[in-house]
Amino acid sequence: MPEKKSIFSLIFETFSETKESFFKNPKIYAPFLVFAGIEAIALIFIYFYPRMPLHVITAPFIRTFFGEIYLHYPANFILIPKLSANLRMVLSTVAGALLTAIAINYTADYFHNKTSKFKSVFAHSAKNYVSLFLLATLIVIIFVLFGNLLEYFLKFYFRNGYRKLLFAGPRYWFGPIPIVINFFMAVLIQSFFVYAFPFILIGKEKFLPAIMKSFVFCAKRFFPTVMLVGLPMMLLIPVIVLNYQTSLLMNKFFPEITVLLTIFAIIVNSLIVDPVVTIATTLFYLKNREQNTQK
Amino acid sequence: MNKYKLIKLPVFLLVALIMLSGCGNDTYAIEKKFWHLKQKAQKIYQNPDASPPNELQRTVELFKKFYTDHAKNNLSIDAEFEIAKLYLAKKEYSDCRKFLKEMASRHTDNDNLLAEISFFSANTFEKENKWGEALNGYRAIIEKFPTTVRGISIPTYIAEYYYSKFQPDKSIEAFKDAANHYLGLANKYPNTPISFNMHILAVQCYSAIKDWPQTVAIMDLILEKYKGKINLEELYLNKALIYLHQLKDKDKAKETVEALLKEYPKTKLKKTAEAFLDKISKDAP
Repeated sequence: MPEKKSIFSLIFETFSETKESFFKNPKIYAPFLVFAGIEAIALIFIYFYPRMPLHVITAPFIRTFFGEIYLHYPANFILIPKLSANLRMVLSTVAGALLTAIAINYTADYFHNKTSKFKSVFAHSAKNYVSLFLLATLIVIIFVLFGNLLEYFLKFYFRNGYRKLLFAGPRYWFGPIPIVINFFMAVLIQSFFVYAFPFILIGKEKFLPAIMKSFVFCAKRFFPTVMLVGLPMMLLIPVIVLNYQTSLLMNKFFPEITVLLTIFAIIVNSLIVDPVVTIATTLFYLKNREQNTQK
Repeated sequence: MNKYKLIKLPVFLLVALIMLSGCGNDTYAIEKKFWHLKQKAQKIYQNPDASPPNELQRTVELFKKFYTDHAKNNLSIDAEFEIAKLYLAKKEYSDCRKFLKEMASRHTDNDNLLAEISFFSANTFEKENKWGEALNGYRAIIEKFPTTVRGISIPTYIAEYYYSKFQPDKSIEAFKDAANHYLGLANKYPNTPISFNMHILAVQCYSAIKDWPQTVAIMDLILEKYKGKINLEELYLNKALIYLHQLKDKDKAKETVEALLKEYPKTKLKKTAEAFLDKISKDAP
């Protein structure tokens, strides 16, 4: 009878296996590098948006959605982190879904000691692209919707004359509190949906059953899942804090600092958090699947 | 092969766009240059007494180069004012005025700008504690550029100056002069937006010195002159408030609010007006 491990040693073991997988099979890491590269190109595009000749294309869009001021120096730098974050959402649905699928397929092959060929891995990922794209879009929509609903509720609440909500006034509710709530919500949403990817790609489930099974899988192993998702995501806290202080940093140093912050955000997000969360949860899923088949 | 050709073209265009961005001396590049110059000036503003004279000269030269290089850009005017501000910060008043005179000679066709330059120049006297010269400068602006934004604001600026210097008699006199000046302008440009604004400014001047009968008299004039042309709901209500709180005439206050409700039956101030009437009737002896 196999020895029963504690949850903490299970989490630690999964993280160390994740690290090992990156070193033993660097192919697993490659899709994340590609995604970071795409994000970097997008950042170059964002950096140059107020300048000619890109200005011709971008100006009407920026003017309509954000305001004329953001077409001018140095106000455009206030918008860079926001535009980058928004573009990241779009990229994570369009390209990220496919690249994540490739990484998950490589991980599955690595776990089963199979040699992976790019062609077959890509073909398998591309075959499930529609489901993966819909899944990534759904996650983004839920997250954006939650953020907007929270903002709407807070505005509605304080506009109706209330001066306090729970223990804090509007200064905090329109300041750091929603950022903290959004972070925990991101961990929670990610935790419930994270196994849907392996369920589609490895478990060969359809879109809706994959989501349902991901929810059940997460609920049954809630603590380890939240840890596997939440611990790496804690690395995002410095990024969030720095982004919250954009205007202050711009005034204290120089406007271009926001570009450096965005590069830092891309490195942390796409090269550390995303790979660790995706591969750790995939390995966790695979181990559980194997245990279930052995039973 | 054709498939790749289709992809190559947009990719090439995108790369070309990105590569070309930032190469030209576009408005954005000018704004960036100006912002960095302003940062240099900021160092002097932060501690004008400690900054060495050559730093001022260097920064002034940079701004001069900027406005010469980008004469057609709106920021060139800002750059010129920045030079004046630098001289002012360093308390080099005569240099500042000399520069402003040169600046005025470059912009002879723009009355609003000339009024601003003249105001800046007169203001240097005020900063130098030479109120007499400053006042002469301000009066010259009122005379030369009466309908510019600055020209309109100066009569009340003078009155507020006396008020801030604890000279109530002079302040009251200046507010009266300002009101007369505004009424004069209103008569000079009848049936124009200027005329209405001047009447409103006259009301503000009389209410600033608490000359309530005059305030109400001009309010009546406005109500008579602009009835049906401009929305005067708030003016009715303000007039009623003056009658109630300042002139202690409840009947007139009630009459004014009733006139408001009669003139504007769908007014957004209906609730306030009704509450007002309610309060008057409750307070009635």
